Amino acid sequence: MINKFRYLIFLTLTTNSLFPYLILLFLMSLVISFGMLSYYSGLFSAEALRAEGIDNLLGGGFVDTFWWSLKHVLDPGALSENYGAPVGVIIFALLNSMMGLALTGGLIGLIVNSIQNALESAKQGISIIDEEGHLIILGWNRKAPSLIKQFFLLNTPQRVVILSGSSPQHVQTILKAEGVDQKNKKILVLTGLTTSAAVLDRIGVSKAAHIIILAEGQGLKDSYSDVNTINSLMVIESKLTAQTKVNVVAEIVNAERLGIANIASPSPLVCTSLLMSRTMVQCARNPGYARVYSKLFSSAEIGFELFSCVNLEGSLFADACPMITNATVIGVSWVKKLDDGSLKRVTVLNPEPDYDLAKDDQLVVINRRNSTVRFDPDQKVALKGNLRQLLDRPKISDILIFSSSPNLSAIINELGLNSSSQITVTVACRNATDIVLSLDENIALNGGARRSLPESITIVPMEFDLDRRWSLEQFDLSDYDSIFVLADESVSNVDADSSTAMIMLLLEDVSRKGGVVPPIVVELLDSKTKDVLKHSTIIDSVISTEFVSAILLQVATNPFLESIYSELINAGGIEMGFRPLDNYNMLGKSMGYSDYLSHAFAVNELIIGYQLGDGPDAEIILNPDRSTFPSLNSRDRLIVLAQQLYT
Amino acid sequence: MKKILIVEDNEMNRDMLSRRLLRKGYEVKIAVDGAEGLRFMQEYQPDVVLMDMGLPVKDGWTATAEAKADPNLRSIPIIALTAHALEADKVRALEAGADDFDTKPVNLASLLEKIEAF
Repeated sequence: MINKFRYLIFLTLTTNSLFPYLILLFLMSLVISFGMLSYYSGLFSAEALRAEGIDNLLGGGFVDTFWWSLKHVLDPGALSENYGAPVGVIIFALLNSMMGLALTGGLIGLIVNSIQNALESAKQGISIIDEEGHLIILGWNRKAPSLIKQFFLLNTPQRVVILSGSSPQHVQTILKAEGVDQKNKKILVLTGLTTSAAVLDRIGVSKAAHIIILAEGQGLKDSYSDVNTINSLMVIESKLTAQTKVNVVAEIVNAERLGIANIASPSPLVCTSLLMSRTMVQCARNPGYARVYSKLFSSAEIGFELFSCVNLEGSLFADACPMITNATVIGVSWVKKLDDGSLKRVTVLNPEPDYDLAKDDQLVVINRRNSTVRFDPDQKVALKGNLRQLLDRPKISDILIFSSSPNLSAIINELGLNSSSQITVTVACRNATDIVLSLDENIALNGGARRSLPESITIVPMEFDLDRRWSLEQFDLSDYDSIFVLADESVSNVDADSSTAMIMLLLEDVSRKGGVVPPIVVELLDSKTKDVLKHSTIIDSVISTEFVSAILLQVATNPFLESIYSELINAGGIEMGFRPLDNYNMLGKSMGYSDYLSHAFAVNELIIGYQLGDGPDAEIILNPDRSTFPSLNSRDRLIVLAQQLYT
Repeated sequence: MKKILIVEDNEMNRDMLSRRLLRKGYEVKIAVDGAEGLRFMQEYQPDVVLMDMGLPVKDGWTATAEAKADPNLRSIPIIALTAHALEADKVRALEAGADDFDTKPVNLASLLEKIEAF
């Protein structure tokens, strides 16, 4: 019986938050009733009424007795006011005050506890978020601070809500360390399951403007990060209706899981391993590519817009381009009706110059952010017909790759896709032979299908271990067309970027001693390591997590960019290229922007900017100002969109 | 109007080419790799096939050679499209059995002439 009563108390205490207060109220009533017994020990006798704290203003009945007792329960100081009262009254006052002290202490404790719980909940980020049009970041990894910084560069008033498994204190510490100003910015850091429907409801997923799902965990080494991402995608999908306008973009780490993720949600996906590997290969093919790409997708400078072609119906694409006077046209876009009746936005970069624009076409332009596109129908370019150019396309046939990054197989596969001739890849890392043997099993294509390494690729393992030997003597670097230094997280006690920096020092040493070092493409995990390497004279391109965050943010704020960014790094289709002026037979001639544009159209290329000088510090200008277009020289390059030709 | 089968793996290239041909009044069907291209040739019996050469699963050269070896398909004209601008690529495509050849990006007027020639 006692046990049952105890269990009942336990059950009520744990399931009903009001119950402790009810018990306290009950006990207080008992104590007050007990104190009221003092009436029978002469509470309102003439002797007692001489005491300061005893009054019979209402006739010395029930109310006066209740008031006297209540006063002693709630205020222990009331005891001293009974000085001079009969002993019996003083004893009741004493007992009442003591029991009141205990009860008041309990009440204060309960109130303090409730306040503490509320504060703790807020600190732990378990509050309900009443926001609309906010940016939600689900998950936490090293791309998040960079992503938030870039978002704030857009100067939007939207609040950023971060929900992850990490504690808010941890997240806030990292944000502070990464220089994210949290005081003047609207950042809410919450903790919780990113796959829980209830938690996602709490942060208002259906009312958000953009949702970015980051892969939580240890990247490619952690298979659960993608599982959680896909789960979150499914939950979010179930919350969205046809009326909700939320742009969702998810980071998928492993290309193998893209297929499943695509089934889970129609939202755009950014696959980190594919993005990194493809970009690195494009950087090797076109040195300087990463800087153009970063600039193109950097949130602060350039925005992508669609410009209606209603007034341009029937005009050729090449005729329409110069009519946009302050922005650069990079393609056309329209909405296509699919076989199942649904609509899909289609974007095509660098269409043929003779493409005749339709009423429903829109021009895709890059423009300075917050600048209105200007249109002048009188601007024209003299077209030079269709010429064929035989370019000296980048040829990469011997590649040296340092490290055994999980991206290794994706990079080798991408090298194969970008080349039609035989290529040799030397993989230099610890246990190189075993790693090369396992590579064939690790190739996964976009969409999840597995395949073997292309036959055109020969892979040579080369043992290289910084633990044993700090030297590159075994390599004849002049044999290679390009070197990749990948972030290697395989050694748990060494930071990947530290290993990369060490390899860069060794390569720098070779260069200083007069050795030939081919162009180097470096992958960094922490964008701050870029500063450490900025004095290196031999690095050609650096890709870091900053780059991935820029893409994620751009796609989240403008979903149609997904097809643009993937087209630009895919093998085949349209690519970005750097063209010397003599390529168009323009060197030494006095040319303006329209002349360059017209020469480029003649070879089916589209100018999007230029590079002044060469080397890693060369200045890159995208969407150039027509009126101040400089006279370019032999070291400068035009940056164009062109059909990729294989080598 | 002629029925045209475009076999092209690059989404932007096939979106653009199909839009341009549709607007010229052609009936267009799309396949994304060589194997699908062969299957659609059987099912759809197009008047002309525009075959990209660098395709996944089964490349354009193999698909062209297989189509030309198949009695049901060999009469369907195949125009090889490739980003390989070298003369050797043209020879290779024609050796595989392609009836004509064009390079990407396409010049629509020239391509239409080739299509109409069949």
